[in-house]
Amino acid sequence: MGRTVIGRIEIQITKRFGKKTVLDNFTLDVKGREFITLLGPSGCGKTTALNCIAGLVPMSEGKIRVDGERLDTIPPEKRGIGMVFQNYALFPHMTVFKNISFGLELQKKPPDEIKSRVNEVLSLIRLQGFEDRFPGQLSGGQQQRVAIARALAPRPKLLLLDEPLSNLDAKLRLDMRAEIKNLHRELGLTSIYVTHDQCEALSLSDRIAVIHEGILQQVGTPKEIYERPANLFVADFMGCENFFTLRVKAIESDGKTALLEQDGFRLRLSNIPGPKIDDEITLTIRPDDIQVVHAPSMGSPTSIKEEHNITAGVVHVVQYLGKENDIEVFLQNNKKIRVRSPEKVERGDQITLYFNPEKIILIPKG
Amino acid sequence: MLRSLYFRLGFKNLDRAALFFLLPSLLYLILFFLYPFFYGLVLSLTPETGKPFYQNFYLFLTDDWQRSTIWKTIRLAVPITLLVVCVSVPLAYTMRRGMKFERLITTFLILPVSLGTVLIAEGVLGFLGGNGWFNQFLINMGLIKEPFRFTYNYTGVVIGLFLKNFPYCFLMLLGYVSGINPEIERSARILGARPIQIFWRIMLPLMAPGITIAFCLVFVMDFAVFPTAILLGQPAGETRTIAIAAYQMAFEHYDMPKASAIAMIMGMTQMIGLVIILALRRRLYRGTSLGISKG
Repeated sequence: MGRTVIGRIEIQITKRFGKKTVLDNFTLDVKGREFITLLGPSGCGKTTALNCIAGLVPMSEGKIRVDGERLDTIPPEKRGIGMVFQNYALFPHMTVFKNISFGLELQKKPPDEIKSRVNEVLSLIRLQGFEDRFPGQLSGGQQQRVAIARALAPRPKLLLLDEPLSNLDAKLRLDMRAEIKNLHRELGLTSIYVTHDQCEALSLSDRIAVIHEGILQQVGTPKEIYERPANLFVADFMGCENFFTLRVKAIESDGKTALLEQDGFRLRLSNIPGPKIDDEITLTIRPDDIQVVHAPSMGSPTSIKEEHNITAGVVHVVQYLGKENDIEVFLQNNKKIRVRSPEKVERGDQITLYFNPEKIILIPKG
Repeated sequence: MLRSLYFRLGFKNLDRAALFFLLPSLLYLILFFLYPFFYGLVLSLTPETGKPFYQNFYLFLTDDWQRSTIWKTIRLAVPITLLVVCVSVPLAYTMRRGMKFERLITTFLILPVSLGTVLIAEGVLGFLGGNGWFNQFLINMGLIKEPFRFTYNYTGVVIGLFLKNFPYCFLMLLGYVSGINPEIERSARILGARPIQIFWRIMLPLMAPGITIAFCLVFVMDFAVFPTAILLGQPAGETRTIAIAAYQMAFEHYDMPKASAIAMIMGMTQMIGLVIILALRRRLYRGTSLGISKG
């Protein structure tokens, strides 16, 4: 579409509101054509970061460079950025056409070009024929598509999306997610996306930056973030709900396989780098990676090759989720864990669980 | 039968509870608006025996001295309303996202509301009157010889009414502007609009319904000016407004039918004014009434 393609954005932001530091030296390098997501709970500073990049909120300290040139010294209306907001933020007194052409008119494009560009983005979001409608006459999903078209029409070099799907209902959110992904594949437009929804982040992004309390926790591909969370917060936020802190009790003769124990709960793992006796190890496993190998309803136990990493527990709460059950289990040491399994179990059942060592995620110290 | 009546009136979902809660306001409307209005209307159409039904209106409209009150009132109401709205809009717009000392400023701005007309008039007399601080200061400084005449004339009424009605207008507009989704102007900014373009092309059209309502209310209040016109103006001369004419007819000449006729004429003039305002607004900004922020 003949837009300017940027090579690299260097972001470094510190933002304070009064005495509160909202973003503490938040540093991020975005590559051209990349789709990067800022992920974190509400109030973590991710939207502030986006607003700083857009220029809507002044930074306390820091620099933003696009291909080596300062962006943060330019007023927001001249940055050549497109932005999509959570509440769509369409101009209610203008038609769809006028909304989309607004940015082009400000650029003083000739009427012919405005018309052809509006048609171009309308076909991109498949809303041809809606030119003369007013925003109030569109559904939420259509409004958000118009908002995206409006942001794309002036051919920005960078697209910012601030939780664009959070106002849509669950089904529509999934459709729009696919649509955004498709748009990015077609246009290759460098995009920074803000969300608190880990599924959105995982499915859309080339890379994810996890933020917590104004501090960048981890940057990586969705696979890296999901499989190798850098710390407890990232692991917790990415859906690892069961955390254990165990002590190394013995190391087998191969020097790699370690036996860990805490209050009678034992694991045998061989993926601990350089284990030493008495080391404290924090690890986690996702609820759906814990296997129910025996329950009263199952008859004969499922055969497991291994004799280690098996533990018994008592079912406390069962929530039926359709395809599977969400089960709260008390282990023998009275620790409560969460298991997701299709097995039919009931409150009070004695069950046996298998912790597959390959699925266990070690959490680095610090 | 009652139910089908509701239906035809468009109250499809009106149940008994809703009707119950509507009762006080309906009662109020009937007792203090509809009854006096129709009572006055009938009264105004009841002239002395042997005269045509329009006699009271005819007398008012053919008497130059009486008829001129309409023009005198318009001459006060329209400029003051414009002044109040034109000062309130930029002020409310500037303060829409809050600012330093906002509470203090707002308190000062709305103080006149709690003071009442008479106290405001006293204040204006004390400050801007012939012997007021302002003139004394200028005379003592040797800047002027004769005091400025700000009171007991047209200017006095303009100042008094402005002070009285500005707070209402400002507060109403401030509430309206702050209610507009701030993301709308942010998105305009990102699309390349400078602050002045945002004001003219985005925010002003969005504020139009609020400005119209504020304009109408201030206009009606200004049109009914009575104590201010007496205390700060020239009630026997250039600020003899139509309300004064009605008052004199009712309580100096004790001619209720004629007073009612004046009140009816006053009401009609106000209505015409409102219709003009609403028509202008429709011409200026179409489509704004489609809802400010959905979602």
